Amino acid sequence: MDFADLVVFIRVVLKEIWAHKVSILFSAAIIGFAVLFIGISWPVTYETSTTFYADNQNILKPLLDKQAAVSKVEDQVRIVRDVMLSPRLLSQVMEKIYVNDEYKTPVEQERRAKEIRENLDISMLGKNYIKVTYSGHSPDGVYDTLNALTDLFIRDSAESKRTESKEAYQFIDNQVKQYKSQLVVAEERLKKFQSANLDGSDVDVGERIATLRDTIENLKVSLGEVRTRIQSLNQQLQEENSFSAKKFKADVYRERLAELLAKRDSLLLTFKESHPDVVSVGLQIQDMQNAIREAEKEHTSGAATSGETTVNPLYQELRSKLADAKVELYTGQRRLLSTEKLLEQEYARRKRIAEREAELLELKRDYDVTKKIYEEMLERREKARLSMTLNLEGQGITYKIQEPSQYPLAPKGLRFIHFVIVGLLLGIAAPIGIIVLYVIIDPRIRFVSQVENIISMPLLAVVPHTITPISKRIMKVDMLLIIMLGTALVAAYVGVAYSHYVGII
Amino acid sequence: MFGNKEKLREVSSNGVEFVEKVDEKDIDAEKDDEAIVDINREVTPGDRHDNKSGGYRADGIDQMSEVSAFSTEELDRLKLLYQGVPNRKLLNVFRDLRTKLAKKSKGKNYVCLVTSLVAGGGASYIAANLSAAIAMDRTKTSLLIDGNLYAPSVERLLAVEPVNGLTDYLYREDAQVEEIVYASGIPRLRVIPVGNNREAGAEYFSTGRMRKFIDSVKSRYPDRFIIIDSPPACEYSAETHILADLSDFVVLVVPYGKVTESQITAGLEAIGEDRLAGVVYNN
Repeated sequence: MDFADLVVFIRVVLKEIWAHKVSILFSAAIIGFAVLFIGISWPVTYETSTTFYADNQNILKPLLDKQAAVSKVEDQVRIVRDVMLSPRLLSQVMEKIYVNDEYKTPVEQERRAKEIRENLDISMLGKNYIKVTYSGHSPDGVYDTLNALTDLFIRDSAESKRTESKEAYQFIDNQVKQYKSQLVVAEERLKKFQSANLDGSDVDVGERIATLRDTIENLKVSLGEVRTRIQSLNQQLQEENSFSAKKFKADVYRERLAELLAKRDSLLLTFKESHPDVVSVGLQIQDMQNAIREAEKEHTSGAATSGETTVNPLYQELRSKLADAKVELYTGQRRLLSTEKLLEQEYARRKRIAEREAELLELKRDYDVTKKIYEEMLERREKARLSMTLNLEGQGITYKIQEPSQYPLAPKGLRFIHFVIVGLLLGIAAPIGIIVLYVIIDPRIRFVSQVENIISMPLLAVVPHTITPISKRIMKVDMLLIIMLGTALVAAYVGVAYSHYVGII
Repeated sequence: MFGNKEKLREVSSNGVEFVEKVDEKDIDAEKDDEAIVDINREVTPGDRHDNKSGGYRADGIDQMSEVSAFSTEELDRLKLLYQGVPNRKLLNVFRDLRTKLAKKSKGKNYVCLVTSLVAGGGASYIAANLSAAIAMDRTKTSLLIDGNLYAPSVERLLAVEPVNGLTDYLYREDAQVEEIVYASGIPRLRVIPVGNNREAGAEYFSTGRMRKFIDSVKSRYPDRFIIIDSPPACEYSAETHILADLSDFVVLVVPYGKVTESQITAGLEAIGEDRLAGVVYNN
């Protein structure tokens, strides 16, 4: 479409606009006023927001490490939303704001609470900042509601945190006490058991049995020895008859003689033979030799007396040894018996120990478990104590108002002035746009070029629109009327808009 | 200036074709013409009583009786062209159309049917103005026949109430042509109104009497051009077809913003390609 075509098109559009001037004027008025009334009835939305700083990076954290449980910031948005929108907090908010019982029935309160829930937006700004935005139709309402909400929320969260950690501490403390008493009971039971059972351990018994067995073995060996000795002594005593008492006498003399000879030899080393000592010894030697000969004669003659037999010292010696050995045997046997008895006892003890072992294990296990839990609880209690202290001193997670809410001075979103402008522009543009569309879409012929295309030959003539003087006058009057009406409409439009703006309507 | 006028008269009386070179000179000439028309009005006093009887008996243009011409205000009101009309563009359009049609008939007089595609398409307006434009030439006369039985319009060109019309003539065997031809308020433009027998009129169009009538009015004066105002082609295609058969050629009027392409095609088919002189687009 080149410029000439465009001019023709515009001319046609203008012609159509003129042809439909009244309906255009009316539709413009209807559209414009409709938009204006939408603007008047359009709910004005005010919005205000406040930013919290959710602080858990306090100075104590590095010190505490894992000892105290500090809430995570990631959960904060959810927590803040849950707490802020809880019916408890909302009812408090309503109590605070609407002191004059504006929403007194439960249904109204519920409706209002729902409204607050819908208009509240909580979002995370950065890592630790939480932005709470509230929108509503009146600036006062928005400002008051958000302030009340944040105020109550901060107070409530601090309070609930305190209570929560206190309760947690108390709970754990109670648990600790309970476990402590359990532990004492277990300890007591174990002690009682141990004091009631002195059998000692299985190992002790084993050692004892081994020792006893060794003793028995040794005893048995030594008993065998003693028996052998008694046997041999008895044999030797039976051979007593074949030995004479004389022989025994001669042997004694010979011994004496040898001693004397040795004495004389030693004397001779010092003295001469004439020395009296040597002579004395020589005489003793002769005596001794004579005695020996006599004894040998007695022995060979076989004249022995019973009195001589009983006085044999060797056999007396043997007999005493035999008696000793018999005593030894007897005592050994007694010892063996008693040791064997002891061994029996040890076996019995071992059996007892084995029987008691299961009970002991159970008691010990009870004790161990209770002790372990108790220790753990103690640790936890310390954690809880720290957390409680943190919260009591306000050192746990805290919400600080970073950006206080501002009183919303200007409404948010579409404002009345926008509607006024849009209404005016749309009122003018829409009917013209419709006319343009009508010219484009309407299949009826409006352009010379179209006719030429259809008949495929040049036109004989194009008769321009003629205006008679009368129609010219009518047209002028029409134009005047249209201008007047249009001006009146625009004036009415502006008047309505202005009176709404200043608050008359 | 006067000499120039004389020259024009000379040329016209010699029977030469229309002088239709529209340039500044010609416009001046037309202005002079207007003055002459005014003089003529005085010199040739209108005889309305004569016209009431309807007929005329003169044999040449000069002898044609005239009624008192319309004033320019009347002509403006009737949307009729005249020499010196302020809307020169419109005048030129019709003069151009006149020339084109004259070319088509090779200078001879013709019977031209003007039909619109739909009612209110401006066929009557174009027919009247075409007749007026032809009549502007002092050597030519034009006869406007109202064939639009359904929305007759040529009565407005008459200064008097017509008594008889075309349908009366066709209905009554004894009727004379002179009875139905009326002088209009425009010099050299004669008018035949529809008449009083419109209900049955359409049937007479196909009669031999109608054909004879057309032939007689055409052949009576060689310098008389006959324009028939026809009913809309799309709505009354039968009448259009019959009237087109009687005519030398047809001018189809396409009105602004009233017809679709299919209606144009249908109209063209109703007329037939051989009869079609061309299409006039009426804004």
